[in-house]
Amino acid sequence: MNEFLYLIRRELWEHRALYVVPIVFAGVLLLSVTVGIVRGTTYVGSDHIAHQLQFLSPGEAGQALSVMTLGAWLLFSIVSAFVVTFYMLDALYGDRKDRSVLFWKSLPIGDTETVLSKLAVATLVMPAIVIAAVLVTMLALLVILSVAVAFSGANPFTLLWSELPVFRIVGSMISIELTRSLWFLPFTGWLLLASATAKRTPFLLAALVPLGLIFAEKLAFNTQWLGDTVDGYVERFFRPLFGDISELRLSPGEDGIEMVGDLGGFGAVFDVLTDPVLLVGLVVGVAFIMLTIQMRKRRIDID
Amino acid sequence: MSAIATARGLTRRFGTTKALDNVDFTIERGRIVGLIGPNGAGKTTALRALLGLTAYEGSLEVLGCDPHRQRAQLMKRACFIADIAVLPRWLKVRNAIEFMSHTHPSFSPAKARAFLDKTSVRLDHKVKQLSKGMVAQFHLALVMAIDAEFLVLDEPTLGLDLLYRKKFYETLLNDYFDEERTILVTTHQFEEVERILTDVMFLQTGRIVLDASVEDLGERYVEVLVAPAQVEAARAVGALYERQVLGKTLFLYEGRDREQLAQFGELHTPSVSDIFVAKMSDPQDMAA
Repeated sequence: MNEFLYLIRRELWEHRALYVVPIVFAGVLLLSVTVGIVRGTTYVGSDHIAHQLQFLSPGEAGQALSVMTLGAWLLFSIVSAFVVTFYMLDALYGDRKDRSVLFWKSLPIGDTETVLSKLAVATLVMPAIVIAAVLVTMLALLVILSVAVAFSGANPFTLLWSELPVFRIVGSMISIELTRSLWFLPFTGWLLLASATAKRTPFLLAALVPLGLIFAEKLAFNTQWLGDTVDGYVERFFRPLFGDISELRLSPGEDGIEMVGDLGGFGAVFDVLTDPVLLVGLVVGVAFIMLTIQMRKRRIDID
Repeated sequence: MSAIATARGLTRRFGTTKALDNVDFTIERGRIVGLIGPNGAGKTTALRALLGLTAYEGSLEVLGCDPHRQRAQLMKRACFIADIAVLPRWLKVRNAIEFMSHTHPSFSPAKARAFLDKTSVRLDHKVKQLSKGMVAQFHLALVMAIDAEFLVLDEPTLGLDLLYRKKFYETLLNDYFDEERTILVTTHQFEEVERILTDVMFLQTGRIVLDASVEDLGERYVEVLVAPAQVEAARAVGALYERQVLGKTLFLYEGRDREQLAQFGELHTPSVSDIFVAKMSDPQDMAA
């Protein structure tokens, strides 16, 4: 276990972007929000955010904050999707390119452990970084808003801090992140396989093989089964979750912000986890990862 | 003596070419074996097979393991430096030591630090800040801190300047090697290692053409410098190789009667490099 934790630390030593990018992004986000609040240009609807917040009950304010958290989380998720995609494409290629694979393979670490450590970074560590980044950002935002609210004459402690649904927010972030890791295992597995296989550009291999297959299918049979299947699989994850989320917004009402919808996602998570299609995804994902391990055993050189 | 590695019928194909062609060998414990051959002879393939880095046909056992299937287990007791400068550029010296002490059961961080103290490599350095020679020293320090029974070195000093090369082998011999350990080394610059070898294996186009201890070489091979008048007689004995040296002819014989040869001149023990050149040269070329 200790060995596995060091394998993961090793990944973070090498791929600093995994945590540096979210930190920088959080900094930019907070800085721009602070500037917006100080200059009075951060609006919800037609009114300044601090001005709006003070008309809410603590419960509503808590909900408003959860919606903001959701927004922040969405932004961090998009950023992390880029970071983790490039991470996976490099994970089993970079050390072959600089030949350091010959050093790593001189250590008593199995190829299975190596591949699994990279998989764990993509499916567990990255979500943990995202959740931590969202929480730290929201905490900082809360402090900034507290100051703003205090200037508007309301008491930030009773308004913002008393009924904060922290556990609910954290709970739904963890459950949705983990569900996403499971659901997208075929994609993770595919990217790792491309990384372990590619002799030149893992990205091209990862992108062109499926595109080529889709194109060939269209030419040969005039069907688009593969494209539709992949498309449908992705949509099947987002539909229940975003069904919830799209209902959710802050809308300016006559007396301030009105809450529509509910942030929970637990029902949606349950729907996703019990969807039999998930089983198909997991089988495909595990198959790709097993192939990746075999490739890692065999392929060292890139020329 | 016990065998560290045994190969029987070891073959490795790449398409239709055989990088290794039905090779048999045994490496005994406590030896320093030089694997020597021209480019493309199959040296690297042989080493990779021994280290579990490539698939192969035939049977191969290293320290009781099937290398390709049990590489991780084998690497607890064996270690290798394949080429210099394969340490990743982003790796910090301190982190490398920390990582290895948590992932390698027979690695001693104290030993590694002690070896590094004798070099100009500092714990805060990243590999990308080190010169090529320093990277080689760093890698050697990491490897020598592993209590391994079998060390494989594939061109460990390629591209280093003379000073580093000398130091590399000195350190290896003085601070690391003992009768419990076995070293297998390949290098083009084998003039530098031939003094430390106990055994040599010559590989040519995937086959072993010579596998002997250095003592045996001294008995099997002999060199005689022959004056022009006796060249015809000396050639008639059947030399492996001949070349011109300052108006005389130097003959290299394999397994010929020493008393018979002594009449042509003074007998010398040829160097490993001379034997290498003789064995690797095509007899047809020489006649021409």
